[in-house]
Order: sequence, then C-alpha cells, then structure tokens
Amino acid sequence: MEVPVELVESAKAGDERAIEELIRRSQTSVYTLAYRLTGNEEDARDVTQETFIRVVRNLKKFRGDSSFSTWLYRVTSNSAYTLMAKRKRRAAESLDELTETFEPPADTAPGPEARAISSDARDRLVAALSKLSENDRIVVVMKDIYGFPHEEIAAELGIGVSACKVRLFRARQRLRDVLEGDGASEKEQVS
Amino acid sequence: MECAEAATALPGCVEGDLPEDVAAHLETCIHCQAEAVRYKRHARLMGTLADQYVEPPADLLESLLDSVIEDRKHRRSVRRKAAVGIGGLAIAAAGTAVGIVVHQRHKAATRGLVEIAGNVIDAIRPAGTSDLVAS
Repeated sequence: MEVPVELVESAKAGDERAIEELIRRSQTSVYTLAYRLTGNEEDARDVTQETFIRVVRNLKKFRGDSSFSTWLYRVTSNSAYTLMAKRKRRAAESLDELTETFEPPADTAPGPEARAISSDARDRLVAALSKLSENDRIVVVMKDIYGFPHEEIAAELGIGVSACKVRLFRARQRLRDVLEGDGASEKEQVS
Repeated sequence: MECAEAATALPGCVEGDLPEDVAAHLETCIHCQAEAVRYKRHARLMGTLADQYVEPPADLLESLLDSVIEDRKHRRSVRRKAAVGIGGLAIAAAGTAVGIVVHQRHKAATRGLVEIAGNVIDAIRPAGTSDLVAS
C-alpha cells in the first residue's frame, strides 16, 4: 500500500477528494488484514468500514510518528478486536458456524515468494487460520503475517507481553495441529 | 528434558526465542528438530500472506465512502447543534446575569429610597412622637 505523505496531509486538512483517494488506495490492504483477523467476509467488511470511520475522525491526531500504513493497520486490528470482543459479549455466533461458512476469497497480486508457494498450500493455511479461535487467530496474524511487535499486540489485547507470547505459541501449536491434522504439511513446499 | 516439556516453548524457535534448556534439548533431539522445522515453515508461509491481498467485494468502496461521508455530516450536525446549544445557554446565562444585576440595583435603589424616606420622616417628626405613631 502506497500512500503519499502529501495525500495524508491534504486529507488531514479536510480535503474531501484526498480523503476519498486515501480510502480508495488503502481499502484493499485494510480489508485484507480485516479478513485475516476475522476469517470471514461479512466481519471483514464491518471492520473495514469501522476502520475508515475511525481513521477519518482521527486523522488530525495522526502525527506521523509511525508510517501511515502502520497506523492504519493498528486502527484495523483495534477495530477487529473491538468487534470480536462485542461478539463474545453477545455470544451471537459460535466458532463452528464461522468455520462451516468459511469460503476462501480470491487472493490477488501475490509477491514473488508467494507466487513460488503453491496456491494449494496457501489455501490450506488460510483455511487453517479460520479454524483457530478468534484470540489465537488475532495474535498469530498480527505477529506472523504483519510482524507487529509483541508489545503492541499485548497492548491491543490488554494482556502482558509474557501472556501474549504464551498465546502466540499456543496459537502456532494449534495452527500446526490443524495443518498437520489434514496431512498437508508435507505438501507445503517452497520451490 | 523431555520432548513434552520442550513442546510448550518450541514455537518460539521461529524468532529464536528459546529458553536455554529447550535450545540444548533441541540440539540433540531429532523429533523436536523436525517440529522446529515445521514451525519455521509455517511461519514463512504465513509471512507470504502479507503480500497477498484479498480482493474486497466490488461494492465495498462505494459503501465505505457513503458511510464516511454520512459520519462526517452527522458529526458536523452534532457540532453545529452543540454550538447552537452552547450559544443558547450563553444567551440564557447572560440574560439571567442581567436580570440579577437589574434586580439587585432595583433592590438597592428601593432600599435607598426607604432609607431616605425614613430620614425625612425622622426629620419632620415632632419631637417626642414614637416610631409607632410615625409609621
């Protein structure tokens, strides 16, 4: 995702066109992270919408200490976590329902390394991620896909760094169990 | 160390975050080495997903723009209402303050008149008459 500083500054100044362009340029990245975190299209959509509302409301508070994309990802993960926490409180949807209705969406524009890995292995990984609990998924996606530091993930989840590591390790174990469970591990080959 | 003991900490091998005893066990245990290779392979596979975008639904952009515009309108309207409310409160407060001042002055003026009248009465009252007679 490339968002020029000038565009961010114009959007901060309230330029409607700049805001629109900002959303246009970053919607795919935000949606992708939202999808990886929530595991389904409907929630990813809600999270993306909530993210951009928060981003536009708080643009003036963005000081540029981190890159705009880092800030955007942070707001996205926060929106996703808020949605999941609300859902948990309501106990509206079970994990089984989520996994039953899971359909991998079309992934686009793979990088060189991603292209070298069979799409089958990626599909199985994405499917395996959707089988993790929300707590496990959020920590493993933030760390292993987006490379957030432990401290930031811990702060997001409202837990200590040690507890965050324990959760990450457990999530990796479960992910491995799911992947190995379907006998897929040996097929995941990087060419 | 047993493999079962090492298993809990083994996923830390992805970033090289292993306690000393687990790292030592890993040196000599083929089973745990194989596990570590799996964790690293999965993590590498996960990392490739960062570059791989999920295509958003076709109508998402339009609905995002609509919701952001709607939210901005709503917030502007709330701010305007709040400004009007604050303005109204300020006017009401100013009116109340003026009323209080006028009332106080009126009271003071009335008190002054009463005092003057009292003094006049005292002055013209024949000596020896009581307050009761004067009132």
